[in-house]
Amino acid sequence: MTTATQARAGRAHTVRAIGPLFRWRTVDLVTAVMIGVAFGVAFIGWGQVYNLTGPLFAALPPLSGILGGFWWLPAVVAALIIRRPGAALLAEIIAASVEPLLGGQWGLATLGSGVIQGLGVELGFLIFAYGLFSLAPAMIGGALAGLLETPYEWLLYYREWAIGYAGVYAVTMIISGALVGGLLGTGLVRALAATGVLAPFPPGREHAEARGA
Amino acid sequence: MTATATATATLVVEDFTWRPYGRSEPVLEVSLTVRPGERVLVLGPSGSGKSTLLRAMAGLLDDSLGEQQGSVTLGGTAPQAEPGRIGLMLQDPSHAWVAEHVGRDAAFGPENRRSSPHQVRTTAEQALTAVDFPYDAGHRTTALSGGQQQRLALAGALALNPDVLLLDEPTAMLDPPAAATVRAAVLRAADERTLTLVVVEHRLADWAGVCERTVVLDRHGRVLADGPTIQVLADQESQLLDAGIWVPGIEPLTVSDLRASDPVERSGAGPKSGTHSRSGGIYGSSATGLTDFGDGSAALELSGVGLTAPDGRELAADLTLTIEPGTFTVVTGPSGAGKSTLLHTVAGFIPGAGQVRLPGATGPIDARGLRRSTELASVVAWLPQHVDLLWTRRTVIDEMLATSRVLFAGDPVRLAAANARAETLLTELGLDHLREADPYQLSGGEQRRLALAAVIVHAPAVILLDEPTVGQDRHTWAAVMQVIDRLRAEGTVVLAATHDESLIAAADHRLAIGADRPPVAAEPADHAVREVVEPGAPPAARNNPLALLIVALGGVIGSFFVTDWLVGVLTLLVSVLLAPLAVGRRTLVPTLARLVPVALAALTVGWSTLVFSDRAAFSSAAFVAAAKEITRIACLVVPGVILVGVLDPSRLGDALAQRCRLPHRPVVAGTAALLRLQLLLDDWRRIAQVRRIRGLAPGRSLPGRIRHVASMTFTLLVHVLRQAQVMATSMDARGFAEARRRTFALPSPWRGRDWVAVAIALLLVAAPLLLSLR
Repeated sequence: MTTATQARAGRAHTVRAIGPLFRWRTVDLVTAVMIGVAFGVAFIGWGQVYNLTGPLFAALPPLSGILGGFWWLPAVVAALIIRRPGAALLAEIIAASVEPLLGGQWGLATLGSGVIQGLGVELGFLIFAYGLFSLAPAMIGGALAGLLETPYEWLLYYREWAIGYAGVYAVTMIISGALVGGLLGTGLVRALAATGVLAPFPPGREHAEARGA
Repeated sequence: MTATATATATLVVEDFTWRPYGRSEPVLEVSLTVRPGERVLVLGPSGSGKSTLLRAMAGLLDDSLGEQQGSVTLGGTAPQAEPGRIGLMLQDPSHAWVAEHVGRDAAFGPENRRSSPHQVRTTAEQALTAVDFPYDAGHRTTALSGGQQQRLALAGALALNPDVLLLDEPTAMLDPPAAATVRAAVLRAADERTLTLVVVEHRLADWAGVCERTVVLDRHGRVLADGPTIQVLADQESQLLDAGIWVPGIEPLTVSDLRASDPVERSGAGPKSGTHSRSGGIYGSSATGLTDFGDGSAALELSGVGLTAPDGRELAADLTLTIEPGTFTVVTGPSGAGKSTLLHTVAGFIPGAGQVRLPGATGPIDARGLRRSTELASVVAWLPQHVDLLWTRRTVIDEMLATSRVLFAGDPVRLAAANARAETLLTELGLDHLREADPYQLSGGEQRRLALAAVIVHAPAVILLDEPTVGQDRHTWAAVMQVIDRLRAEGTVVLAATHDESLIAAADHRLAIGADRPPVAAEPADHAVREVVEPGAPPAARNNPLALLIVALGGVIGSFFVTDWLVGVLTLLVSVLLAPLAVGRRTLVPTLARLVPVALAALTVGWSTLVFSDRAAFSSAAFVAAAKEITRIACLVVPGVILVGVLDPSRLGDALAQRCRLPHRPVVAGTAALLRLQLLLDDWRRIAQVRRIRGLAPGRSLPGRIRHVASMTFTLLVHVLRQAQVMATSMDARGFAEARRRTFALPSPWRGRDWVAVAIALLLVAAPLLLSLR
């Protein structure tokens, strides 16, 4: 019961980044970019899992959006940890530049996706004026990233899709963005906070305070 | 700006207290004055705030981490008022570097200070020469050993012409010769420049002789003693020993010291008896994976094993060796001799290295390796150097039992034995109060002890330890030694790679490998900072990276004009014909490898056009459209994929900052991160290896694999987040915090060849456009 109360209290008072919002500390910058590179590396590992679903999505490409939210996890995670405008964008651009280096299927066109997905997630937090860093902005940001990414891919990759299929793709991308990007990202940041490694960041502070200090 | 008043800068720490958030009491309460040119050694038990004190002195404590009171001043002003006046060297130099090449790394501080490019280059060159750096300025940072990286960190600090140098256990991770070299370089710089030194260490012998003053902190972060080193050491010897500090002339705690207070009786089975009785083990009934003693080969046997360095150098050939059960063998040799590689070979990470026969394994580890993770885990355990990559569970006790729970899932007797063994180890290693703690929350020493426990609880027949005592205080050292001794008594083969003389002295056998090192070039290294182009690189490697990006963009735009498959094929031909400009002999295979996923992507798009377009599925119109789409995707992606091979993160960073005028700090941080890509890939591989040898690799089920990769991702993230914090500290110590606009040692030139690249970009747009008009 006490844990639930504390959790609710914690959500009501989101800890903001220290100092002016746009005044990034070095640790904010380095953390954002390293999150980007780490996810870029982890995506390779996930590729092995993803390949198992390959035949299904190769047969029904418009359904592959179900896992789309995965690609903007770095943006959601960076935004929730660093809590400054631009964190999501920076982490996502770095993650997107790792992919072509390691042999991604879309080459440098991935960079465009990185920018779009990063901006989508930023929008989710902008709606709340960068004052709330909970599940709601994370899921909205994830969904927006999916919404914006769909036309980019339609234009660049799947130009010949009939509009109905593109619609299916948009819906799966949005749902995935909210669930895989937003929900999973929020859970991941909570788990990271519990290890103590986020001590210099607002989620680490929230965790320390929730434990009753 | 570069002129310094070295002789007048007194470092004053006045009534300084630090309370991290989440703690009710301050962890540091210190007043201290360090006179110019003084050399001070700071000692104290772990958790006494020594590192925090150094960060406070450097002015790098972060308000977001806790509350500080009191003040720190250097010559009357705040330490960061002019960044770089206080240099900081940290324990792990692999987190300190920021640039691809040595010269640019030394230039980082002067760049932050906005010196002119010429001045930056001169200062960096002088700093490298001052530490007698053995390699050219164009040498790759990642190709340096730990000791060389630490010397580079020293050069990076000296390039800012500091008054004070703060050293946070700078040699703890190094082998003795490398440590001695780094120490000599620090002392020479201190002599030449009358630097004030403040050193945190727990191996007294290394620095006590050169620091005339010693400050001892107690575990609440208060000054316990402060005075001439000789006197403090004499007065405080017992406190220092209690704190786990290595005091010169006092031997390590011996196993018999520990055993005197040990309630459990020693096993009757002699350590080197060669009888394979494992049932009388200290930890209760045997819980090993040994299945067959019949052939009498309980020994670890290596035959015809060759060791190859990661860079392809042959380290040892045809190594043949038998290690009897119940013995402790150390592998020694200089850094890079192949000690870790030997352990990796025994662990089966390097298939094809030769024949390794593990006691109890059903077959030898050969080219095909042991297939199953659980089979490997039941016979061999491995303690890697970086133990934070090991954690897979949320509590200490779960971590210790992770392997046993997998291996003995259907064997309650063995599982009970493992449980009992875990409880014993918890107590012996002083972890019993942390039973339910998160492994990540433990201190460094506690993590190492837990790691040792976690890899041996299930009692495999062979245990491989990579530098098990490096950077350890006396207490942890003794605990590790005690465990090794127990394993030996139980009949386990213990093989440790180490530089630690005390550990070597305690071993039954010593295997020295790789005595000869290639001699360092006799001619002095060239420390001048200039553009680096790898020999044999294709012409495009000399282009401005922006020009290369424009070529890739040309491919993207051109692809929109691909109206049928023939236009697509012809346009693609342009890219293929020009490819030799960007693909050298060495990059051919990686480039082809990068093209494989592109081909698959193009086929997927073709298929989806066949089925999901406005045309009737599988109609002839759909086939025509699909053929066009396949070639269009190739035109879109291929130029970029070819050019990625010559896109260099450092030069791209220079171009984005200087030519595109993007904000300097994120660009520089992003470059430093991208340069660590290969290292993070190595970490990822190591995380996988650790899990495999612990029997925790996934089966074939999809949920199992998803859990596995998710857990690996989490481990990598924690590792990377910690690394980022150390990187940030060391960057700020070189003045990065305020470097909103910086200068750059090297320009990002736009040359004639870059206009040629622009012409190629136009060609990639024009070719399909003109072809489609025909």
